[in-house]
Amino acid sequence: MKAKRQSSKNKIPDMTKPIFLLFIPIMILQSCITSLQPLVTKNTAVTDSRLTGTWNSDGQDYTIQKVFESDFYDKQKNTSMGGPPFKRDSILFSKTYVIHYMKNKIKYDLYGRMIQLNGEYFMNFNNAYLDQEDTTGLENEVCPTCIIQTYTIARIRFSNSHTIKLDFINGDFLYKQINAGRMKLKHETDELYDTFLITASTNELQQFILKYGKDDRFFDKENSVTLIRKS
Amino acid sequence: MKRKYWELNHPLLRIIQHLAFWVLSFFVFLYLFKTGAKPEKIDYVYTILFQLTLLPAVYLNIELLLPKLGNRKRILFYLFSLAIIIIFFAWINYNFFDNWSAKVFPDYFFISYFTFREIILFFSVYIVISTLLKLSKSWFLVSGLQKELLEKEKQKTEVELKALKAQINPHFFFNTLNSIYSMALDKDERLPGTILQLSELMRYFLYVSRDNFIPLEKEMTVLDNYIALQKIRSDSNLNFEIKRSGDINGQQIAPLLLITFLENAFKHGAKGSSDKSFIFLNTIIEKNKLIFSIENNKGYVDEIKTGEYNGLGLENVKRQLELLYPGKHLLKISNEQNSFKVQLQLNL
Repeated sequence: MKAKRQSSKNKIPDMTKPIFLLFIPIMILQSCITSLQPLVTKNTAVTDSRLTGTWNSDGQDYTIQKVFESDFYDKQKNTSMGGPPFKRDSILFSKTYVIHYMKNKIKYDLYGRMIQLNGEYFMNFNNAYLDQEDTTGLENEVCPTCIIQTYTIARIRFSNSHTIKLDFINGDFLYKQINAGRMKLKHETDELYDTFLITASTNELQQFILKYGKDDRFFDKENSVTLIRKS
Repeated sequence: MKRKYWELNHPLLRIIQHLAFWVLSFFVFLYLFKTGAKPEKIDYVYTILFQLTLLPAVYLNIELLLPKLGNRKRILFYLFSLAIIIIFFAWINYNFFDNWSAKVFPDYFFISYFTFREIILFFSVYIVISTLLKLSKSWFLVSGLQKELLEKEKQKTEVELKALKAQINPHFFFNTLNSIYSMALDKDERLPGTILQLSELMRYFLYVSRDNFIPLEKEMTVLDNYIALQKIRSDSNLNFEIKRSGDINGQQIAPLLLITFLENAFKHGAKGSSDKSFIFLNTIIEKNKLIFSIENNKGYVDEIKTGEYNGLGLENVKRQLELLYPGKHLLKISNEQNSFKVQLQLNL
């Protein structure tokens, strides 16, 4: 997974922080689809024991745990961001994974929820927490709740118990098809930032995946990630 | 019959109406289905395909089901058939966009954006709208045809009335000329005056009686002239009594109705009776009602003259009354052993 991160030392005007954070997921996975709505809901989420563990891809380690069994959860419980939100979302989080990895000495935590559609597994990812020093001040922002989560989607194929392949939906392909008038999917584009956001409902996303989930044109081969189990 | 372009059921206008309906419907759908700020190529493609699944359902309903089953007796069967059609084409629509389109249009990507239930609802609303449009169009057509039929009926009545009047005139003149012929044989000195009165009557028959309705006053004057004409050639034994009451001014009546009864009375009563003959004529005007009665004795002529022309005048008047005063007249004819009586009540 390609990732970019703004330096925490860069001084950003206070009002732009929420806006900046909205675009972070878009920038993290540049060529992946970015959806405003999740693909997976609490009623459709599934779990698979083959998913948890420590994995490696191109020398990069990834840890996948169920949220309630994770170190991440233990840490969150003891912070101001734990408590009520977790209680409220307990049904959803009981079927949620947290993916942890470190890149360029920066820790990343992503939530991942899985769904099975037309015999294939798909997972939507969203940021769990941004490990940056400045986030402690976010609680006092003018509109901290304005930060909207976005999701990226990947197809998950279990080759065997030791190998998982993640094929991310090809954002470039979708962008080109929509711009060429060949794909009917609700979306918004921002010409200034050259960003592209899918705004289709969860139901529409699921219908699309159901129909085109096996169509390889939808998946970015170059951006595929193969995870090899370490433990 | 060649139809005019602006008539509702003209084939060309019909095609234009249907095209206009579908084009309008297309743009409504297009703006309803569009995903971005303005419709894109995919929205046009999707809308066309969506309409294509709707089209057969609508036409099967308005061209087949509605004409064949759209009546009270078959309404349940009609609704059942309609439900089958709606469900079937909604299913086609749903499956086409959800599955088949990927094979038919592999380079276009869309799904069914509505659930099966929503599509059924969509189709039902559309079927109802098109049915109402069809029914309202049919109503206009029927209404137009009814007007046309009424106009034709009116024209037919006019023609029939003219024919009936044309029958009265020769009938009347035939009788009067017979009388004049008798007067000429007798070298009666009243003959010139009689011919003059006859010419007055002829003028009335030829010009005034062309109208469907004339002032009652005018008809009464004609009756008076006719009585005067007939009295000249009647037997001196004739007991003629005439009574008239009520205000006749401002009232209208169909011409030549009453004179036929009068003519009949003179023909059968005043002439040829061996005994003292009589004619009692009574005319009453009450508000908008005319009560006319005439009674005469029966002479020997009635037993002698039988033939195809007998009773022609009365039958003619009966038909005129049916045409001009439908439900507004009461005619009673009493044919007794020694007398003949006609009573007519008219709502003017």
